[in-house]
Amino acid sequence: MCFPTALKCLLFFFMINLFGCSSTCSTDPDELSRLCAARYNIGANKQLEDHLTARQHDADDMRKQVDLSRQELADSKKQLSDMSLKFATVDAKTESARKKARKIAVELDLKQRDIESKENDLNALDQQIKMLKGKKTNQKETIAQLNQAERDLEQTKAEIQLLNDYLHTDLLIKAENALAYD
Amino acid sequence: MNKRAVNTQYIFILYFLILFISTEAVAWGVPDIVKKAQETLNGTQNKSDDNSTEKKKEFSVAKDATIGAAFCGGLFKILGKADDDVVKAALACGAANAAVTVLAKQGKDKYAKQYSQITSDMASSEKEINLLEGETRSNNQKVNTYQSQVNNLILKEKDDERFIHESAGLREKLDKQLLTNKSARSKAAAKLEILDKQIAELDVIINDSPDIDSLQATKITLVQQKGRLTTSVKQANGMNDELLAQKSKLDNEVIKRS
Repeated sequence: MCFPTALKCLLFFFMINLFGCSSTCSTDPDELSRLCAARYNIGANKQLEDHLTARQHDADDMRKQVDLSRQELADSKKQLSDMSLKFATVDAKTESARKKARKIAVELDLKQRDIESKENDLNALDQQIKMLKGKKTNQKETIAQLNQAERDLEQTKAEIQLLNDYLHTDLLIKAENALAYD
Repeated sequence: MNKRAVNTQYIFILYFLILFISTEAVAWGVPDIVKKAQETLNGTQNKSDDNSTEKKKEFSVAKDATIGAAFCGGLFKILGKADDDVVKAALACGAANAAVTVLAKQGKDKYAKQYSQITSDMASSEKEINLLEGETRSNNQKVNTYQSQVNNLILKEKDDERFIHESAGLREKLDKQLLTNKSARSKAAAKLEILDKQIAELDVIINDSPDIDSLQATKITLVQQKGRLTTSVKQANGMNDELLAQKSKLDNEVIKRS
């Protein structure tokens, strides 16, 4: 038996030693090794695992909501873009009418950029939810982050609603009126 | 003695030699940690001695804390930390380990596991909170910079076309900063949720074992961490409001000058 064989034997002894520790540590509170306690905790929290699995299913629903919000934004953006095109052809007779049309056109452009900013918010959220959905480790943190993503989604939806309300009950009507009186 | 027997002897000698070296490495530096930890814990010990009901307790948290501190202190010393820090960290670590042991000895396995998890999470939480605080400070500086840039642009740029052109770039930066702030706020808020749950879990353990001092000490640390995170979230909200206000100010000026 040469020296490498001796090393192999040593390794074998150590493995037996470690296995002995980890297989007998769960009930003895006087157990010195913290490795044993760690092993006991890994995967032991079944309730937390079930909670995470349920939350990961909810993630699909969240992503559907993100898609719906994206669609809403796309519709609004199209309406703004159509309106902007109409304003480009406006040939107002008076200076005050021209000035008014210009201001509305600028605001239409600014609101389109706001929509793009909200689209970026939704994209970032979607990526985060997708990443969290695939995460298997550290359940506690993943659950908290998924809960937070849901709260962020609610807030973003509320902001989009506010923006859409302004566009449909104020800006687009103002723009239609300006076109009608041109 | 044949060759095989000699080799077997070598194996056993090597095996025990390695076991001996590992044990010695952990034990190195332990005696002075025990001494310092015992001195520091004397007050706790005397306090419990004064109380006659405490004397009857089968398990002593202070004694276990000293043993725990010696174990943790030995490890810290091996890792090469400074002496004062060693005792401080060792006591905190030792007291936490001792409380886990006491809870387990009292048959409260569920609480022992929960508390062990809470204390092991505390160090990583501290690192995360420090990073988040740094992120908040950096975001705050950027928001202040953007605020002065908006004011300067509105006040100093008299050429309308140039103003409109420059405001478009600045508006984009404000939007990006809003997204960064939201991300930082979300990270802090998610961590806050975890801390809230840990504090609630700890409250249940404290109600069940009010005699273990280190549980209270852990709760104080958790509440402090929660306070710091709450401040970060509030600051992030304040910064977002400020950025939105600057954006709206810029938009109004753009419309006015168009």
